[in-house]
Amino acid sequence: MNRTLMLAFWRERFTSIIRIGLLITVCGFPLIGRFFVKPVTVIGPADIIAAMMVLGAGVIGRDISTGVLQLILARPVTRREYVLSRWLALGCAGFAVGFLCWLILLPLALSSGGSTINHALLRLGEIGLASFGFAAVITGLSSLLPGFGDLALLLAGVMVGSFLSFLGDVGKSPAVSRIGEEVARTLVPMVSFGDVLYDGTFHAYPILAWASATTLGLLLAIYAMNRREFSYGSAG
Amino acid sequence: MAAIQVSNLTKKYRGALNPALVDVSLSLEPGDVCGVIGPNGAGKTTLIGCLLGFLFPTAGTITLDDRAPDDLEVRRRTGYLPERLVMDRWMSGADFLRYHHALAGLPDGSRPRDVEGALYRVGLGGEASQRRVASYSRGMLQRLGLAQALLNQPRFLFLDEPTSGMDPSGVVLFRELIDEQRQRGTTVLLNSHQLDQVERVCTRIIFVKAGRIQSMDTTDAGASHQRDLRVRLHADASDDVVARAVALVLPESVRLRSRNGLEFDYAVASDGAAAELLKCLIAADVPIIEAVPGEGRLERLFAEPGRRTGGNA
Amino acid sequence: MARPAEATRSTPRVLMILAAVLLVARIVVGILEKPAPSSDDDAAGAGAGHADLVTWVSPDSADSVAAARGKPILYDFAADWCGPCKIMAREVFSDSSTAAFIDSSFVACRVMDRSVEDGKNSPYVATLMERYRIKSFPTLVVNRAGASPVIMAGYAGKDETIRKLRDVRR
Repeated sequence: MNRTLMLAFWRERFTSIIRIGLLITVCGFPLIGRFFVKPVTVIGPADIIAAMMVLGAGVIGRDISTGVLQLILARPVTRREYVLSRWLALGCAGFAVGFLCWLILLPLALSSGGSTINHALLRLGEIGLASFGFAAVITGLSSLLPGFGDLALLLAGVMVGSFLSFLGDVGKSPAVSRIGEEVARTLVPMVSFGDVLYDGTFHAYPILAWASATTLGLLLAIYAMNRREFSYGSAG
Repeated sequence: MAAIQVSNLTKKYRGALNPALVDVSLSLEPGDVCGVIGPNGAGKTTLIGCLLGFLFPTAGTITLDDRAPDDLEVRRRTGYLPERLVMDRWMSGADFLRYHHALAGLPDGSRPRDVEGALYRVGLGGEASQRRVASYSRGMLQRLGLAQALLNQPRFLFLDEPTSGMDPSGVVLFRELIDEQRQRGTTVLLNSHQLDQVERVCTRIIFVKAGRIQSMDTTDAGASHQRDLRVRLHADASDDVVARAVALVLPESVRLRSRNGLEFDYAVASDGAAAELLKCLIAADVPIIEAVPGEGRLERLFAEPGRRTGGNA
Repeated sequence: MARPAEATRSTPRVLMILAAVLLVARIVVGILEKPAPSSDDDAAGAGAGHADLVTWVSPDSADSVAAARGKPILYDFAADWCGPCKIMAREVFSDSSTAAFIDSSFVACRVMDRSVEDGKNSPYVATLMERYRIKSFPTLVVNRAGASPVIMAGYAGKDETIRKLRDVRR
């Protein structure tokens, strides 16, 4: 991993007034709302997805469209190093935001009985896995299209997954429903420890699905970047 | 071993009708400063893109010190200034150079000294280095870009329109920096539409058109460059005056190329020679109404057949 | 001929292999393993609900865990084919505050009846069902040390179920 690239990513993201404003909006209002729902509970992995999108939109695509990437790649930086550094930086940034929101709610959640410490720590672990998993997906999608095309691809993919689930339900086809669920699970990789440990036995599938989606996202990003040409005149 | 060797390079973009580069071959030695000129869409930027490993050749080979363009070792020795320098808005000039110093893999310990030295060298030291780059003028950005390209004391230097937006002092600085690099043995390749600058700094000049190298010249960098000077006499000038002008003993490095009535086309080797010519004509009581530069040697490359460019028709 | 490059464009072999292995494992395990309950009513498995939040222990370890923690055992007797079981799981066990209460107050143990699917239950499940005379699903049983078990047959709705569980803990 390239420490310079990661530090630059964090500085760029957390000094952008627009992104900070959006983060406050997508995190702040839901956070405030939770204080009014008794008992108070800590946030879960689904609660940080919006923040991840704010932080991660254009994580690679923006560098491509602005021309910043060419200057970086003229340096002794491999393309996979660039990709992995962006992923790690985005994952850490998302986890930091999630951790902050979790921490804000923790004292009240514990005192009101809404969460136990074990429950809260499990949620924190889920937040961490969701941060890095979703970061890998955004990184992969962002390598395919310039600018903020990653958001468009993500939306399209989620819609495809939802449509397949709907088709499966309507057509009573568990296989099609399952495919739709897997599409959604791949695009927004999260692990619920309740799913891993439900029924009193260990279920590997949620962790495997998360790990598979994460590695596929990274592999897609590295592959796409390795094949990409950079020119003012190229089709990209 | 040539520093940069390009052999039969062809590049065709996906979906394009015609290739951007066709069978381009080029060999540059250490210390060569190669100017690439040509009309828009000729393939100049494509050539630089291929040399940097940003574009992948359709055919042919490129080596830099016998290595592929996308070799990490080549990257360590490369400096690059794109036509449009883009950087993160939160950065100051010093931040930008520190960032690239780190990306270049240069030692952390030398960073403050190297960055400060580079900034002062390009005239951005002191207060200017702490300002956000968003507040920089175009010329300041170009200076910063040059500093960035030279941070790692490159062996290969690729510059795309390096003097764009620069004031005259910036242009002088640019010439000094290129001269330093040439003496260091750096191989420089630059695109530019500013033909006079190309003539002044380059030891090799390539004219590219429609993806092919149309001509390749070797020049003396820094030597005075020849250009035309068209002198028009007053309409009332008598035949005696015209004869006097024709018979005038010309200064060194000036010669009369052609005459068309009251218009005299001279080839002058330098601005100084042009000034001397005008002094001689005035001293000989030749009534000059106008003296304008005609096409330079390089401008003539751009002229389409049958069409005169530059000067007054 | 150019010397071999330390290329800037290479794909890490480890990642490729890992991604391939994980993808295959995901597909295989996904087919073989019973999926965790979802919010879909047709999803297999009792405890259907959007992410069951209760930490369940297996029937054979419930006694030892309860003794170690000093808490009563809450048995959830359920079956895959049981619709009200899924509704209860979705409404009660997937509610974060209720799940937190259950985790803090009980050792939760889900006991799945497999007599319809498999023809019989495992010995441990059969013993538990006989002990508490389970005749219908869902049935919640709270087994407290030194007190008679509290048995709640059927699903009377979220509020009533939560009220009864809180009453048991007082």
